[in-house]
Amino acid sequence: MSLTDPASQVPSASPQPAPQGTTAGRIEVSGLTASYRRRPAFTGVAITMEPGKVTALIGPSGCGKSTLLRCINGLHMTVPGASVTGTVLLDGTDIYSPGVDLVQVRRHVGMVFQRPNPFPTMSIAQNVAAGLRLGPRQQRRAARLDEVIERSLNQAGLWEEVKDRLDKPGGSLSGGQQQRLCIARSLAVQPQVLLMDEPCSALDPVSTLVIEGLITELKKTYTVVIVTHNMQQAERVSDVTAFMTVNGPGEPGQLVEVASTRELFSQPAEKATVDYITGKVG
Amino acid sequence: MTAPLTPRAPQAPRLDGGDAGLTRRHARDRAMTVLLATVMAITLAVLAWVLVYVAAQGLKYLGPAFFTQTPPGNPAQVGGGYANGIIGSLIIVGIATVISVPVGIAAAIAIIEYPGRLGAATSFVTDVLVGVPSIVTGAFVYALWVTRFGYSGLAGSIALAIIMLPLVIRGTAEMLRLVPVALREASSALGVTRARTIVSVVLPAARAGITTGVMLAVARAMGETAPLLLTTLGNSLFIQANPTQRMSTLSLQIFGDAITGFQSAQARAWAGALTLILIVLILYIAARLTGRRLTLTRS
Repeated sequence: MSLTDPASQVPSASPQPAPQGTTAGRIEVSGLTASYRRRPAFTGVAITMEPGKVTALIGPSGCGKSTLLRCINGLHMTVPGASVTGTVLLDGTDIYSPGVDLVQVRRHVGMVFQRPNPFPTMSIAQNVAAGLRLGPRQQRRAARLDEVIERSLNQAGLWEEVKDRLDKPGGSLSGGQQQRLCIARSLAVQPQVLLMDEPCSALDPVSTLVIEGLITELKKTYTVVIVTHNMQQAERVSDVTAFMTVNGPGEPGQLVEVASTRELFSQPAEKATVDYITGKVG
Repeated sequence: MTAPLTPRAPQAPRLDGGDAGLTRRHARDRAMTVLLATVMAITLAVLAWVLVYVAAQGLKYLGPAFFTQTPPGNPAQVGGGYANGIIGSLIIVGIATVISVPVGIAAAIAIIEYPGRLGAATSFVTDVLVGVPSIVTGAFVYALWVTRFGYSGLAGSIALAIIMLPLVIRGTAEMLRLVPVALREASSALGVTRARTIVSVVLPAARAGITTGVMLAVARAMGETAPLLLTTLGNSLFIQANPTQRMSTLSLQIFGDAITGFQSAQARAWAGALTLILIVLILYIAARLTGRRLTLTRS
């Protein structure tokens, strides 16, 4: 995998799952500090996110968990005044080293946002194909869009619901369907990693369950990182949980502990974690 | 230090509206509603009055011949039409639109999408340009262009393009600002470059608003008269579709006929005014319809 040479990134006709047992999509964060206009959002974060697993980031508002997520695909850097120090390795390559194009990184690290955000001027099919249609020319030519659209919508569990109205606007779907459309849109560019920033917080409980089931399915193929405010959700869907906290408003957030989800919720090592998961703070 | 808030003394809440404060708030609410409704009614009435009056005066003379004939050589004569002015207006404003819209949209993108010194400078120049009286723009083009190449439709187009430019920039910038960050981020997160995001996601999302802004600029240019007196001068005698020559426009013909004092000429001017409004209306509807079709069928 190369992050610097777009010419070598010609995908096959369909979103091909990474072969079982490979390490593609391993994220290693170390010594990471992210700032907005010199004001750190969090400092000194080190965490590894393994392929085939769901890593949940939990913690109170303002602890920097969303910012951490946005550092993994470099979206943090699109905010004016934003900066990072430290390293984020994607399969051994530091995405913040000179010569690495963050636009290229984002073709390997997909992201789903808190609110469903389908492109309003595009149909359902066009939304799914957007990443390919607006991507590098080689990909646009090589990809067989119809197959990619069907595959991606199938992976997002939406195909059966929309196959007869692919030319309808993306905004015509329900909230939960729109969010799955956004997931399909991310999968269409065949990333190795899928970042999800509170993907269910704008959805009703039924849609939430559908998405959670989907996450469990997707982790077989992708490294999944999910930010959530909902601790039950973290327990239900994740294999590893990272707890972040913040001492007060304006202070930088800290990563308190990372452990397997079962361990973190049953035998947390730190007192701050105990207080948070038992509801004493936050 | 202020005293902490404490719960009100337990008391049955009054829900019958007998509370004097509540009555006063209701009265104020009603008064404001009436005031705002009145102001709105007055505004709409003035607009309707203008439209109805122009339509009533214009329809007295407007007929098929108005669109096919040129005015009579002697303005006192009855008859004739504004065919040359209609053609001139469409050509001159058309060229001005072709010049100003791409430049204006590009400038708006610079202001909104690439904030920094260049964007701020562009924004400042735009604000200054908006305030320049159109006769000054006309004099500017006269000095730079007409003194060298003579009066022509093209000189008029240049003057109108300068007048339209800040309107297009402002309208477009306003619309780009309304496109949610979430859409730009969704596109970025797919590994789409910033330039491609602007062209394929941001601009289409703002298309309806940009069209409206452009049409406002077109409407303004259609009605401009002063700068055209200094640049294209007018040509009431025959149909001239070559923009390198002197051309007539609707606005120039309306002006020319309106100041004659002959009833026959003034009748033509009213019909011309109505034609001007109709042309702007038709262009606006056409632009909105094409915009919508593009949005739905683009693959």
